[in-house]
Amino acid sequence: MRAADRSGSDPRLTDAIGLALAVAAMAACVTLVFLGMRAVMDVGGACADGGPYVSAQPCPDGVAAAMFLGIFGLFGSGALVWRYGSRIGEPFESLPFLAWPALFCSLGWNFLEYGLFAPPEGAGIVWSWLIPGILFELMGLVPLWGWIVAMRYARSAGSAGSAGSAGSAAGTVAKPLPGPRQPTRPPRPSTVAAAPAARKPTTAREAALSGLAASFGAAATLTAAQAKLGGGRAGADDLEGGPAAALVDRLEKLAHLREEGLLEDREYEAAKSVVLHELDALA
Amino acid sequence: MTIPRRGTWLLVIAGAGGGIWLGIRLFGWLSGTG
Repeated sequence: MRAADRSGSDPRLTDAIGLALAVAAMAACVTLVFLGMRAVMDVGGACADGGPYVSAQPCPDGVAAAMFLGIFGLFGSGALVWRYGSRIGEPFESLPFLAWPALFCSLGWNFLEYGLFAPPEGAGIVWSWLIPGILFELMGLVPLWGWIVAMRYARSAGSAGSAGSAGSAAGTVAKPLPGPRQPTRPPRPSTVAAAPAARKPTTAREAALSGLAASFGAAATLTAAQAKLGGGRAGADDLEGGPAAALVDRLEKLAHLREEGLLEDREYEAAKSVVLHELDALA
Repeated sequence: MTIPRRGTWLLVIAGAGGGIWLGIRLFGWLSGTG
């Protein structure tokens, strides 16, 4: 996506102008709905036009067109804002989201003003407008707060990322990002050499490694004994029984453990080199 | 041709302000009061 490529770099002028025009259209739509609502509230809060019935309260002139243009225009202008904003990157990409708090906070203000600050003459506080006013403000402000937090988080993440790369070059340590703390991964049990004597094995993998290491110890002891008795002489007969066959058996076990996933490639290669070294000693 | 991001913000804010003005004018035209 182009946003990821262009985020952080200077946007093209045509994209910026397109974004500004789309934002203007979005703001105009919100304004139309805002003013249309006020016009309806001026005549009591409800009106109707058209249809086979005679309306008790016809709508003020232009309200129907303003509402139609405002509501449906919001969808179109929001899509345009997203289109141009995505070419530039965050936070411009998420600007269409601001249409929601802008709409609900402005409409909520209408409810609050007509219900609390400027109620109809002699009506006092109009609770039926005050309560939706509070609800509308909450519906607008809570998502707005979430958007601000998300943008601040994204900004700090971006700056920490760049500071991390720059800091590593300068020999400094970047500040860790806010967020859920990652559990500290326990150190992996060491492979063939340390497994048997360190502690009791707790997993199948550790048990396999422990047994393998014990076998290696036995094979090495046999190899040393044979070298001591036979003066290091070894031939083809030794491969059919004795230490050499045991070492070949170890190789097969190693391959089997790797196939089962109990040994990683690196561990397998290390263990295999030990076996081959023992075979070289026999030869 | 590119524009600095600060300039983009200014364009966006100007666009929002112009949009509000446009909405007021448009509603006045639709309602016959402006």
